[in-house]
Amino acid sequence: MRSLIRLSPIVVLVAPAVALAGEKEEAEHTRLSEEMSRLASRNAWRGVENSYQKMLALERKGVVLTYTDHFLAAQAASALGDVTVTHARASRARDATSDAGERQEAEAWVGQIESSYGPVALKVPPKYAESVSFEIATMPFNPEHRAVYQAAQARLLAGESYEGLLPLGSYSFGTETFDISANSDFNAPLRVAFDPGGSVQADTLIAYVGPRLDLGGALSSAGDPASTNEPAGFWGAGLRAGLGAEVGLRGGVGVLVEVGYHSLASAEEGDLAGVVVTDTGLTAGEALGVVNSDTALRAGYSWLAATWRPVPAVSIAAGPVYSIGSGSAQGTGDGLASYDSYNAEIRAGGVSGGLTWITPAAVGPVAVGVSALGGAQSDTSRWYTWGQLALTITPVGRDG
Amino acid sequence: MILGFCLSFALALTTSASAAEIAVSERGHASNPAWSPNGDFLAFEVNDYAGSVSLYVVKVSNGSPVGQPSKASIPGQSSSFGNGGSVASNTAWHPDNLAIFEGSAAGGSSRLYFLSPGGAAPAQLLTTAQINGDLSWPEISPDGMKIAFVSDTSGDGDIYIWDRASNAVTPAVQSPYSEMAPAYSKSGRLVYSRKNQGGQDLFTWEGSGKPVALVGGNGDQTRPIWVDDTVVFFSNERGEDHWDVVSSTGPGQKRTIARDVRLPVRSSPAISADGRWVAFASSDPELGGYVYFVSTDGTRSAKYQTNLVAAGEPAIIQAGGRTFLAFTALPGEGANWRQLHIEDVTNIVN
Repeated sequence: MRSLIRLSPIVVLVAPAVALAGEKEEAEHTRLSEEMSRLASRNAWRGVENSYQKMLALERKGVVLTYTDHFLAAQAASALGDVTVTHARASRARDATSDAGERQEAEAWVGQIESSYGPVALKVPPKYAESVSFEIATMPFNPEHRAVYQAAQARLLAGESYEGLLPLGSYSFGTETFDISANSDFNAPLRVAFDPGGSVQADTLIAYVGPRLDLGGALSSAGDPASTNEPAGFWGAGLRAGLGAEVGLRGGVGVLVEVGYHSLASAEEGDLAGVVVTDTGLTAGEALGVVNSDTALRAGYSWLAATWRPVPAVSIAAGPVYSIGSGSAQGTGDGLASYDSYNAEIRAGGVSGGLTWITPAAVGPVAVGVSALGGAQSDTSRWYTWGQLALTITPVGRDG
Repeated sequence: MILGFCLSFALALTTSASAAEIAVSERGHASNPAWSPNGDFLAFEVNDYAGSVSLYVVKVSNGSPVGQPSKASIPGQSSSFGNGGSVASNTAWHPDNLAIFEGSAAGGSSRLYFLSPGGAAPAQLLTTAQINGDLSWPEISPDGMKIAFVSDTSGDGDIYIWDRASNAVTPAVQSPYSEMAPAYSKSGRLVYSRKNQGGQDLFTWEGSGKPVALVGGNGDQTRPIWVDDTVVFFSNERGEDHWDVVSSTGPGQKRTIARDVRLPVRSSPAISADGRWVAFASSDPELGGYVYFVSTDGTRSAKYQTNLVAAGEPAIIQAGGRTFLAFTALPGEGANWRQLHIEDVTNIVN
C-alpha cells in the first residue's frame, strides 16, 4: 500500500502525458487527412504521397489509417506510375473499411489490377549484372502497362532485382521464358533468377560461393603477461595473409573459412634490453651477455566467420579465430636479474571480424574489396590484439 | 453520267438482297464501317452532324450481327469542359483484333485510342510525353509492329511512327505541308497524301530517305490504299464534285477505275482482302440503290442492289470462305439517318 501511495504521484504525472501524446498524433492524422484531400482535389499527387508517408509514420505509433487515407494514397501511387504500390494500397483500403460501397470500390480496383498484372520476383545475381536481358514478347498497347514493363526492364538491365507487378504477357529473362497470366496468386509471386546460361530456375539456397583472400599489413600487440616471469608486452607491424572460401545464402548471410599467416616484427628489444644500467655504459642486455633475438611473432591461423551483406557493397564478418605459432622476446617483469631472451610456442584463440567494402570491380565471379579487420586472442597468459587493412577478394553477390 | 466500271465489262452481275441491318438507338448517320482482320467485328461511326461522333463495335458471325453494338466510351467523354461533343472515329484494325481510332473528349485534343472488343474501356495508345498535339489517321503495318499516324505537334500535320517493340515514337515524314492518310503496303512502304496550296498529292516513303512524289494534278488525290504494288485512291481531278477511283502503278501513272463515285466520309477505297475488287457507290442519286464492284484490273464488274436509298460507305471482308459487304444507306426516301447493313456478296464478287 505504501508503495502504491508512493507511485501515485508518478502515475498522475505520466498518465496525462500518454493521453496527450495520443491526441497529438490523432490531431496530426486529422490534419494530414484534410491536407491529403485538398491535395488530391488539385491532382497534387506528390503532395498526397508525402502526406501518406507522414501518416505511415503515425501508424507506427498506433494511429489507425482509414479507407480514404489508403485509397487516396493508392491514387497517388497510380498517378506516379507505381502499380505495385497502387495494388498494395488499394488492398489496404479494401481491408480498412466495413462500408460495402467503399469495399466494392476498392475491390474493383484491386480486381482490375489483378486482371491486368501478375506478381514476380526477378532476381539478378550481381555476377550477371552486366549481361541481363529482359524482354516482353509483344509490347502492351496500354501506356500504363508499357511504363510498368519498361520501369522493370530498366531496373533489371541496371543489374538490380525486381519485385513487383508486370503486365500480362510472355517474357524472356535470359534464355528462359515465362508467362504472366490474369488473376495470378498475388501471395505467391513468380520467382525467377537470371542465368544467361539458360538454367533459369527457382530460388536456390546458395546465393554465391567463391574464394576469399585477405592480404595486407597488420599492427599487432602482445599485451603484458599475467605473470611476471614472461616477456613484457610488445607490439609491431607485420603481414597478415589469409586464403579461404566464402559462401552466401539467400538474404545476404553467409559463412567464410580462412587459413593464413600472421607475423609481427618489432624494433623493441625488450623492456630493459636497451637501458643503460651500469657505470660502464653498457645496456642490460650487454651487461648480462644476452644475445638479443628478434622481437617477433609468426603464426598460422584459421578463421571461421559468419558473414552478412546488408547491401551489395558491404560485407560484415565475425567469428572465432585460432592461431598456432611462435614468438620471441627479451626480458621479464622481474627486472634486470631475470633478463633473458625467450622463444616460445604460442597457441591463442579469440574472435576476429571486420568490415569489407566490395568495390564494383569484379573479375569473373570474384570482386575486389578493401577490408578493415581486427581481432583479439588470448593464450591464457596474455592478449594478442591486432588490426589490419587488407585487400580482399570475395565472391560477387549479395543475396542471389 | 458515265461510271468508270462501264469502261471494260467482261462480266456484269446484278444481285439484290435484303441485307442485315445493324441499328443503334443513337441518332445520327452510320458511316465509315471497318472490318476487323478476321471479320469477327465491325466498327462503325454514328455522326449526329452536331459535333459528336460515336464509335460502335458489333460482333459479326457469318454476316449477321451478334448482339447489340457496343459503344466505345472514351475516358472523359462526359466531361463538362468545352462546348463540342466527343469524337471517336477513323478505326484501323490491328492484327490482334484491336481497334485503333481517333478520339477526343468534348473540348479535348484528338488522341489515338485502342479498344479490345468485349474488353476494357478504350485507353489512350500514346502518352503526351511520347507525342504531343492532335493525333489522327492511325495506320497499322501488316505485321502490327508499327503504327503510323499524323500529329500536328509541329504546327502542320506530319507523319510519325510508333514502334511497338521499342515503344518509341519517331518522325517519319515532315514537311511544311500537311500530310495525312498514310497507308502501309505489305512490304512496309507508306503512301500518303500531302495537302499544299494546289490540293492534295500522293507521295510514297520507303521507310527512310526522302519521300517520292507519286501522283499530283488538279484537285485532290487522296486516301490512298495499296493493292500489292498499286496504289488506289480517290481523285477529283475532273472537278470538285466529281470523285473518281483511280489507280497508280508508279510516279505519274494514273488509271481511272470508276468515275463519279460517292466519296465516303473518311475511308479509302474499299478493297477486298484478296485485292481483286474495289467497291463503291455512285454519286448519282438515281443509282443510289446500288453498291458497285469493279475488279482492280478493270476487267470485271458487278453491282449489288440494296433496295435502299443513297447507299455508300462500302467495306468488304472475306471471312470463312465468304465475302461480306458492309455499307450504309437510308432506309427510304425522306429518312433522317443512314443505317449500317451487312450483306453476303460472295456470289457477286467471286
